[in-house]
This record gives sequence, C-alpha cells and structure tokens, in this order.
Amino acid sequence: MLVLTRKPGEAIHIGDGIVITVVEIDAKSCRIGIQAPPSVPVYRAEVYKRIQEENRRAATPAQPDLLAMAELFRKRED
Amino acid sequence: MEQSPEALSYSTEDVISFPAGIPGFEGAREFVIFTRPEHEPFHWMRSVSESAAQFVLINPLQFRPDYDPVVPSSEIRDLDVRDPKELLLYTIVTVNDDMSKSTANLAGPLFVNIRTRVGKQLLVDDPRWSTSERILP
Repeated sequence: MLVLTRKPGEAIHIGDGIVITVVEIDAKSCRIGIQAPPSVPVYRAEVYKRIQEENRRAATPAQPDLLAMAELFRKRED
Repeated sequence: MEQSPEALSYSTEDVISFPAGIPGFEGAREFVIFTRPEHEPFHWMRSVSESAAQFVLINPLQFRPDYDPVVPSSEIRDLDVRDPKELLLYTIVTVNDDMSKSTANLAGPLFVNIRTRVGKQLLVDDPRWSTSERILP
C-alpha cells in the first residue's frame, strides 16, 4: 500500500477524476474530503462490507419457491 | 425449484445495467428482473453473465410502508430520473431455510430507472434500516 504524509488542506489526486483532501485532523481521527466521478461509488469501508456480506448471503444458486413465498406473504396480510 | 428455461427467457430490452456493480458480485453488471403476478410481491433478479448472482427481490414498501431511506440527491441524479414513475425500488431478500424467517436488506436498496434501464444499489448508513429485516412478523 502506498502511504503518503499530508497536512490539513493538502490533497492527493488519483487518476483523472479523484481527489482526496485532508480537511481536519485531531489526536484520534481525521476528516477527509473526497471528490470522485459519479461512476465511482464512495462508501465507508464498514458499510460497504456489511452490504457485500449480506448480498453474498442472499445470492441463491437457483430460483427458490417464489409461489410458496408469495402464499406465505399473502397469508400474513389476512 | 428449478424454472423451465422458457420461464427465464428474456430479450435484450429487458436487461438492466448496474454500472457500479452489486457489492460482492462486482463482475456482474447486467441483470434481468423477472416479475410474475403469481410471485408478487417477490421478483427474481439474475445476472446475465454470472450464474452465482441471482437474487429474490421485494419492494420494501410492501411490508414496511414507513420505509424512507435518506439517499444523497447526487445518487438519484446519476440515475437521470425525469419522472418519479420511472424509478423502481427493490430490496434484496435473504431467503431463510424456514421461508417465514426470510429477511430483506433495507440498508442496501436497489433503485432502477426503467426508462434508461440503469440500476444501482445504494448503501444507506442509517441504524433504522438493517441489512436483515424480517419480512413476515
């Protein structure tokens, strides 16, 4: 991993359209500004990981019995 | 239950592209959503290229009418929505072995623009909406 030292207000360019700016730092955290094109989604790593894991859990090798599921759902409504 | 091949046939106009991919299945960018009246409120979405990327979907408003995730306006702008009617909302269902315990991922709604046929999974960073919300009480 490339590690660079930056001061508040200084930035890093990645490729053509991504700019990472250090906005503010204190003893325990740092605020980072991110400019990126719309095609590049930017998320906190832990949020992304949660969705990624749930998507993997949700993927099914074949179509489940949607008729049975739909029936269960309708019963709930009664 | 396996579907007959005819039931899962589609034409190229049915393909919805997810340019940013689906987290966990980054290689799959094109999907088809199958909707059949007898399966409502569930839908079936599968990747045209990656056989592992197949999901059950539900419109979360079907079981959580109060669902109102805060979505950055820039994310919706990317979908180029001209009319709210163009925008479809789904969430991915995790089917439990005990079907009645199946859950939906309210932290990762899918938005699909049916006019442009472009979709996107958004990540909602809000403790009210979990990745595994029970569909049936």
